[in-house]
Parts: sequence; C-alpha cells; structure tokens
Amino acid sequence: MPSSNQRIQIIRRTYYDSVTLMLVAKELLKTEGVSVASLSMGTEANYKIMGSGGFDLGGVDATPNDLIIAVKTDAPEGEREALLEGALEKAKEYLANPPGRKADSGGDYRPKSLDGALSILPDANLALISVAGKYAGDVAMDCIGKGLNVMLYSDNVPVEKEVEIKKAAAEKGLLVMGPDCGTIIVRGVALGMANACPPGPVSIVAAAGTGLQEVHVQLARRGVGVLHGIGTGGRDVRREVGGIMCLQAVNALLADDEVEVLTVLGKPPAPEVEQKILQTVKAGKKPAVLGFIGGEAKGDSDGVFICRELEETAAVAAALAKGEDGARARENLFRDYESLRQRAETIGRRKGFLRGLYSGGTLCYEGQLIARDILGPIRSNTPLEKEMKLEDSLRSEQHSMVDYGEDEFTQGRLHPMIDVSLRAERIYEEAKDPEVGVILFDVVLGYGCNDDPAAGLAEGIRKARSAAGDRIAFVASICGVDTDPQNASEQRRILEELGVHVCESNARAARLAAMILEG
Amino acid sequence: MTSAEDMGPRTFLVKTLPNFRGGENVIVVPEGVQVIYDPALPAGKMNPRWRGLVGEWRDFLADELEDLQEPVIRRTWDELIGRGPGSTPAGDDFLSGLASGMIWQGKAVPFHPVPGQTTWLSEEMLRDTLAGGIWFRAKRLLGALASEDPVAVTGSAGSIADWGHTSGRAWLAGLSEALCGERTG
Repeated sequence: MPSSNQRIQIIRRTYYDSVTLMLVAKELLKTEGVSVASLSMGTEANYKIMGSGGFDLGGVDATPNDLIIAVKTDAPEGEREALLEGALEKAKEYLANPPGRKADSGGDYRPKSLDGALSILPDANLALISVAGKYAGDVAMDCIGKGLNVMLYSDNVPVEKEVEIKKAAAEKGLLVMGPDCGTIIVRGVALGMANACPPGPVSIVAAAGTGLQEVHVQLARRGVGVLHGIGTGGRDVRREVGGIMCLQAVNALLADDEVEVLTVLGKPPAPEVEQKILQTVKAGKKPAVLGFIGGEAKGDSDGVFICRELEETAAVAAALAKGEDGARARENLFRDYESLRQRAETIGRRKGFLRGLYSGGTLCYEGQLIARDILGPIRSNTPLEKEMKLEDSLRSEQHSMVDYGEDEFTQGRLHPMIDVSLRAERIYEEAKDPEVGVILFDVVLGYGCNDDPAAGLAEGIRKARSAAGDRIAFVASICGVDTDPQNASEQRRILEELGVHVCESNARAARLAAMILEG
Repeated sequence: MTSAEDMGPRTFLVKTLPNFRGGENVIVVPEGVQVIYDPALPAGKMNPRWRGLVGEWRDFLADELEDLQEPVIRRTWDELIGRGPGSTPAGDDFLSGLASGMIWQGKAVPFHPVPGQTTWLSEEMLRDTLAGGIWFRAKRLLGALASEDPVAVTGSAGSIADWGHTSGRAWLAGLSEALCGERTG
C-alpha cells in the first residue's frame, strides 16, 4: 500500500495570530520535499481552501477553535514518512519560536494590558484593537469605557456586538472605526494598511479598506492630500447598524475648520441610511463628494457631488480642493476612459470569460459594477445582486470576481493584502480553464501590506502564462504611490515585465479588462 | 559582578573573574574598596499613576510561572519558598519581589523562611531582602515607580523582565502583589 503524501495534525483549542501562521507555513515550504504547507484554524472556509490545495480531509474533525497543521510532499515514496514527520515537528518548533519575529526582550518594558498602556500614555485617546473577533467587542467596550476612540482592526465581530459598541461610543461622542477597519488616517498620519501620501485639505469617511486607499492614492496623484480618513467598517451603513459611525464621523469632520472638502465613500448604504448621510452632508454647507459605488442617490446639488466610482470621487474632490469645477473634472475623466478602447485594441481582443481576483472589497465591488455595464452579469462571492452569488467562492463561473478579503478567506488566515499566496495559486488555477480570456487583479500597496506583492504574485502569473500562452490577457491596477514602502513604480515594472497590462486605477483596469473581451 | 547593573547586596564589581576550581572557597577582603552602590532600600510609595501597569505584572504567573498561582491565590506564602526549578526557584524570586515591595512601603513581610527550605543562593537572596537589601535594578525600578517618568519606569521594568529565565518576571509578579494586591498593596 503506497504511503500517504500528506500529514495533517490538529492541535486542539489553540490560537495563534495569522502572521505567525503565515511565517511558519512559509518557513516549512523552504524544506526540500515539502510541496504544500498550511497552518490554519479549522473553519469551514479553511477546509475548502485546503481541499482545493489537494489535501484529503477525510476524518479531519477540527473545529474553528483548533489549529490544523497540514503538509504535503512530492518526495519519492520511501522518503515521505520521515519528511512529513520532520515537517510537523518543525512546524511545532516554529510555533513556539516563530521565524522572522523579533524576540520580545532586550529593551524597554512594553505594557500588555490596556490599564498598563494608559499608565504610560495617560493622554492617549485612540486604541487600535487587533485580537480574535470573538473577544474584540469586549475589548472595544473596555476602551470606550475609558474614553478612548477605537480603531477595530479585528474582523468576525458579530453585528449585534458592533451595534452595541457603536451605540455606547456615540453616547460618549467617541468613534468606533471598524470592525474590519484596516485603514485610517489621523491628521495625515496613517494607521494600519495605508499609503504614504501627503496631508492636505480633503477628509474621507469610508468603510475603511481599499476604497479609502484608492481615493487617498488618486488624490495624491492629483497633488491633493488628506487630513483625516475615518473608517467605519463595511457594515456600518447597512440597515442593522444604521450608519451610526458614518454619521458621527461626518458630523465631526463638518465641524472641523481644517477640513475643506468632505468625501464619503464605500459600497452603497441601505437607502434610508444613504438619505440620512446625504441630508447631513448637505446641511453641513461644506463642499462634499459622496462616492457610494453604485448608490441610489443621483445628481449633484447644493454643493454635494454624487459619484459612482472611486477615481471619479477623487477627481471631483481634488478639483473642489483646488477651487476648480468638479463637474468638468468628472467629464474630463470619463473622456479619458474612452481611450481605453484603443488600448484594448492594441493589446488584442480575447474571447471567453473575465476572472477578477481582488484583495480589496470595495475595489472588487467597483470592478463588478464597471464590468457588468460592458459584459453583462458578473458572479461573485460579494455580488451586486444576490442571484449572482457564486455557489463556491473557490470555483469561478462565467464572468466572476472574487473578493479574497471576505471573512470566509480571512478566518485564521492573513488578509490577502499581506499574504498574496492564495491569489497567486488562483491565478494559475483560472488560467487552466480554457474558457478564460482575461484575468484582472488588484495590487494594494502601503504600510502594513505585503512588502513585495508583485513578486509574490509573479510565480502564479508565470505559471499561468505558460499554461495559457497568449489566450489570456492579464490586467492589473496598483493602488499605491512611489513613496510607499513597496514603491509603486517598481511594482509596476515587475508586473509589466511579466506581460501584465497595468492601469492607473481600478476603474480603468476593470474597464480595460472588460473591453478586451467586449464584442 | 562584572556589570554595575547587576550589583546587589554583598557584591563586588570586578572587571573579570579569575578561574576558580569547583568547590574552592573565595575570601574577599573589602578593605580599601570604594563603595559604588548602596543596596539599602529606602522607604517609598508608588505613584498611583503606575497602578495599571504594575497590576498587569501579576499576569506573569499565567504562563511559565503557573506553578506559583495556587499558593499566591491562597496567600499561603510559605509554600512558595523553594518552589520551582533553578538555583533561585521562581517562588523565591516572587517572594523577594513581594518582600521588597512590602518593606519599601513600610509594611510587614507576610512570610518567614527557615533555613534549609530552599537552595543556598536563594536563602542568601531572601535573607538580604528581609534585611532591607536590594539589587540595583530593583532599586532603580522602585525609584522610577515613585516618579512621574514613564521612560524611567519602562526602562527599569524592562531590565528586570529580561533577567534570567523567569527570575525577573517572578520578581515583578511578587512586587505587583505587594503594591497592588488586595490585602498587601
């Protein structure tokens, strides 16, 4: 009987942060003979991901509170047993002492509790919380009780808890930025995953992820900076939460004399929440842009511009900040988009389906909206319409776009803006499908993001190109600037050398990708 | 000692130590030696600002020092004497921190070691502590805790937390008990 080429071990009721798990998995892959290594919590989504990675999970009974260490080998049969055992042992050693992590010793004492931290910094007024989602709400309540604004980086926080903490914060005049808030900017200083752009007269309220980053970057490219970028978490503008923090943030920024132009953006809110936001912004009498991607509100009025895309939002806000005509800036932008049709011709038309693989939720949503207008229905794990929901997020159907930042992919795993490996594998998988004509993806840069995402995706792109030849065109957008730690120009060079067609914005990339398949 | 940072009661600072044979008795004649460190523990009081920080040092007992937890919860301090591996068992380090904190605040030390309960080195350490002698790093920390200076507090606490395998953290947990414990602080 042939020996198994995989080994799976479950460590019960054990939690490690996702950075540690990624570092250990990466380290195991350096072992000769180890072809796949996965360390993840036993969530349903992770079962699927491991299954798609070729693991046989029969008999595996891990729960979401259990850590699964899984390794596969391509070594000859006689060597497998020792190699897999050795890899498991190595994994456990690495977990005890994670590779690449600085030892927590040899310097000043760093507080481990909120009370300890407040002893050191009694004037602090903001806490950044990054703990497992089920504990995050209680930690946030503790912070609010101590008069702190909260940036809630954690995801998987139950919506009931989100409402509870936001109501408590609102009563005290505090902000809860999140949950799942990866980006904020306070007085030009970025926290979390944000770009190295200059400060300036515009302030933004956003869900707090790549939508905020994209507008931040697009403003910087137009020579305009951002003073505050307040993330509210993607669910804030849904009916259940009622936009509690979006409204709180809007009011705070309207009252701030240093804010010259207010921008509110994100996926479309619940209609009644959108109306409340619109009324509040209009009453503020400050130049403003609402950029709800595909939102209900239409038509500019009372100094408030209504936009449907991110680059459009930035172009109009930049014009307003410069004292220029916002409507004309929009017209010029859309005229510019027409030139993409010529670029599509030059690249050469392709046949088949579009496959979008995103790390940014708002970018994915915007991509769908734009591509749908050109190609028709787009399927997704975060679809524009419920009927378009992918049955299995790991299996594309027809035109599809997948948001890898959704909870299903991030429970016990790193966000795809940090760990690009899943998307790199998926690019190759999509390329093997003979019906695919274009693969579209985003590359998000900034503090906290993967330090070289283009290089991380490169192997997947190379394999995809060798599998598909010229059948597939690769289109990408880079959300970043040259002052980012990854340097946007350098990332662009890497992608272009791989034959990827790189665009200046997600809106342009989605248009170009769809136009290549058009007709 | 070869570093001024490590000075304590009854220590000498030397550049290097000669090679000793195992079991060799060493007699040090202190005449003419300059006093560079006074190990006497002065009376003092913690600035209330640091209560949150010092309180969290109790949590050091949750990990590697969990063997100490039960006696600490029961406040059966004598059970801690000699408890734990090493030449200074962690229980003795905890008690040394506890005693230093109590003496610093002018309070009675709530345990009473008797000879033969622990290692020679620990016995000497506890004897010095109960006599009001204290190590340089610990004295510097107590001085910082009486001040408003966060840099002094985090710097001196860091130098103790890193001390030995568990010694520093056990000592800090004991100090936390003395300064923030329900019946001691």
